[in-house]
Amino acid sequence: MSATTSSVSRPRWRGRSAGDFIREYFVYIALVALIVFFSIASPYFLTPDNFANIGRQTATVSIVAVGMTFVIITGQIDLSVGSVFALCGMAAAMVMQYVSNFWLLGALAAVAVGIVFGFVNGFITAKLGVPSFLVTLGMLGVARGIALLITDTRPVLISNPTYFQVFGESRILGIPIAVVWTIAIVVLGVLVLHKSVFGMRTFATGGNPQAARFTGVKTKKTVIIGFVITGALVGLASLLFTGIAHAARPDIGSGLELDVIAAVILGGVSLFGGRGTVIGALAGSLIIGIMNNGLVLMGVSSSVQQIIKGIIIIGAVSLSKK
Amino acid sequence: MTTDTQSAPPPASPEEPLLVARGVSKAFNGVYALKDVDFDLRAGEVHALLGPNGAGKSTLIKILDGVQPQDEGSVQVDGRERRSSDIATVFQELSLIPGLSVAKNIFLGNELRNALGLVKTKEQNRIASELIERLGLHLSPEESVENLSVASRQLVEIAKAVHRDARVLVLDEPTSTLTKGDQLLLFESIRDIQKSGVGIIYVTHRLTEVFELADRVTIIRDGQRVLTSDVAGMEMSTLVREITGADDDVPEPSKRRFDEFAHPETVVTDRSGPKLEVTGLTGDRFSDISISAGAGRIVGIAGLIGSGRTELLETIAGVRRSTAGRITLDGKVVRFSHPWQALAAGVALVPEDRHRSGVVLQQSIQRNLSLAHYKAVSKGGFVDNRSAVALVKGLVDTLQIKTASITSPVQSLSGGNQQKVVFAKWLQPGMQVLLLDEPTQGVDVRARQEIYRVIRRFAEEGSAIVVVSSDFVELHELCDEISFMTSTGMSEPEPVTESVTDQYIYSKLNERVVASHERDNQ
Repeated sequence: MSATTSSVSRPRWRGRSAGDFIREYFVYIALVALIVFFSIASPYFLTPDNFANIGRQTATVSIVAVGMTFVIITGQIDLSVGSVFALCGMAAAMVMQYVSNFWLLGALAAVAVGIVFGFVNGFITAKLGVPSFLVTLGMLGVARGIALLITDTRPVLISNPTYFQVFGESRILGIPIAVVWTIAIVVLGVLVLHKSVFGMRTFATGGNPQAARFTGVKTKKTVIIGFVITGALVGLASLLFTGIAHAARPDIGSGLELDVIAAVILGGVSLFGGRGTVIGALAGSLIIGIMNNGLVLMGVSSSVQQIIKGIIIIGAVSLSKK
Repeated sequence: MTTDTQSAPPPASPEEPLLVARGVSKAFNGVYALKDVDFDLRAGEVHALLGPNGAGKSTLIKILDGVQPQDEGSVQVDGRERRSSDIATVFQELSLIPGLSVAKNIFLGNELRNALGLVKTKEQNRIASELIERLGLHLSPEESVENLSVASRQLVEIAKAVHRDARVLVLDEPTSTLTKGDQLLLFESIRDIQKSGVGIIYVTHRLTEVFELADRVTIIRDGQRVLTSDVAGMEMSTLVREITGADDDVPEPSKRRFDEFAHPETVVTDRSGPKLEVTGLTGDRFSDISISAGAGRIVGIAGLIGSGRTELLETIAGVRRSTAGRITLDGKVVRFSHPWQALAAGVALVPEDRHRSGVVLQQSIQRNLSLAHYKAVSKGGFVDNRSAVALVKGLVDTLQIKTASITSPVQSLSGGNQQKVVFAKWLQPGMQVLLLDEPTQGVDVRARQEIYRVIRRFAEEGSAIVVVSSDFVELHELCDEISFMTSTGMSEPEPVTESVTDQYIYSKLNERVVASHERDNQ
């Protein structure tokens, strides 16, 4: 009797099924499938130039997605990134226009504005207990309003060659500078989220806030820092955009939050918090970037593009949830 | 072992059994959770279902209930295929909707409707009121479930099941969160239901309850039935032996390893003065509480649910704020407003609800333990994976946590092993005071003994330990001294001797509760 019983040990969670595998690596499989598809569908797709293009075009979404990964893993969301993005760009341009035409000062102004908005979002969410969905929805309006108000909706020109070099037009070893920035931020994001004590606390805060608190984690502080990281990265992303456009406009970045959130969720980050990776979010962002790019190359009209994009995002997320 | 009982069919029944399950098997990912299990239940009997965590009890219940299909075998009620309305199960995780009233919960999905299809609320309230009255529960049917105590919720669940005229009622560890008084109330209700001819399957880890309540008992272990027998004439020791399935002793937490984690610096040589002293502490739901716990002492607190015992421990641990009173640690007054401050001072809490407050269930053992031991596993803010793996492996070894790997999610472990993970979090240098809230809730007999040994090892290392438990057998077995807590205060501690049995603790506590009531009423 006792000899036979030992062969039937605890049945649960032994081994992983093929379904688990697909779910975990879904975003990467989808990314490869998309590349193969567009390579066949368009002769212009699989070229170094086009890939440099994709990298440049996705830099904004990718960089903000790294920050959003932190926010979503703590169980929060930030809807204000698109408007704050515009306001950060305005801050950089106006500081260089009216204070001192020094590239670093402009850059710091943009990042500082991002950090301030991130902190306010995080503070109201964590300390006052207002759902971040509402806080950042409100902030979306506030930031956009300020951006439009300060110049009465007019764009502000930038005329600083160093600024354009650092954030826009130069290449390092043939790689566009925006891509270099993206890689740097992703590497930093991986280190902080997956290798640091703070990263560990981020996962615990989103996975089970009460248990995290009982284990000595300052969960409110963790949430606030997540928002601050996102704000800082929104500031950086705005530099890359204005560095190419040579101007800041108060109306840019609307809808950025949707692309970023879609990228992060596609990348396997759980909207309920506690689960996700930076690399997954990057892959999600690339999927969205490649979709945009490939559909243009195939000559699909922009209205149809939007429909296809929407359907693919909903489909991909439902599949990855299954 | 009792090979005769396990291979023979269940004892012949004088009447045709109500429920008959034959040859039930179920596998997950190719591993058997249940293998060829026979089970039967007579009308009007209480049939206890026992077995260690992970034995397959829950799977069997789910199959009987029909929530989960079996791979092989049959389940019949009254000689025909089982219908879903035949069986009502009160699962451990209660399935009431917190925002709805008691009556609405009872009628959920079976609402009484008038000709227009609108819910007849008054009628529902009337029937619900009768029903809960009959179960000995005195509350308004319009009360929202979220305001009820766990015990009352349990009874509402049972009312819901009874209302549906189920032939079979399955109770999955109904007393795990109940105090003795609530438990007696529940038992009375069960006996009432029993008289009406309903068959009751009663899953529990508390063996004393089997003798108090059950007519027959079935034990399953490792997915197979090892025993079905009448309770009359059975010995407690037989039950324990059959459940643990081995005559070997409960493994001792490894001494050498334990010393490695609880550093020599915490070993207290001077054990004269109290380590933790609480004076006149008042807070959420408790007032004027004093406790004193010396190094190496295990101090028990007996109190009913609602006496503020959980709130008391949470206040000491910095989860809640006190409104009056004083806490001193090694003679120094401390004031914690967040758990991290308490932990920094060496005061740790093992919470009552480990799923909500003890562990991050979906994350691995390694992650959960690294979070608590971050100082030991990180350098300059970054986690050193190699030292984390070494530390976690050591902890798993020391506390004998049974797991396939340290990267397995905590939810893949049995209740006892999950609880050991919570203890492992605080097995670190500098732990002065350990506050334990229901430390063995939902833990099987064998793991319970292991956890007791872990607690005693903590004490030997010089930690002061405060235990709150509804299980008075546990307080008797574990504690050096015991105090009685009501919402108005705490008794002087009493040393635990042979004569301080669970019965004694119960009657003593009852006395105090009655006395404090009378004082209130004057």
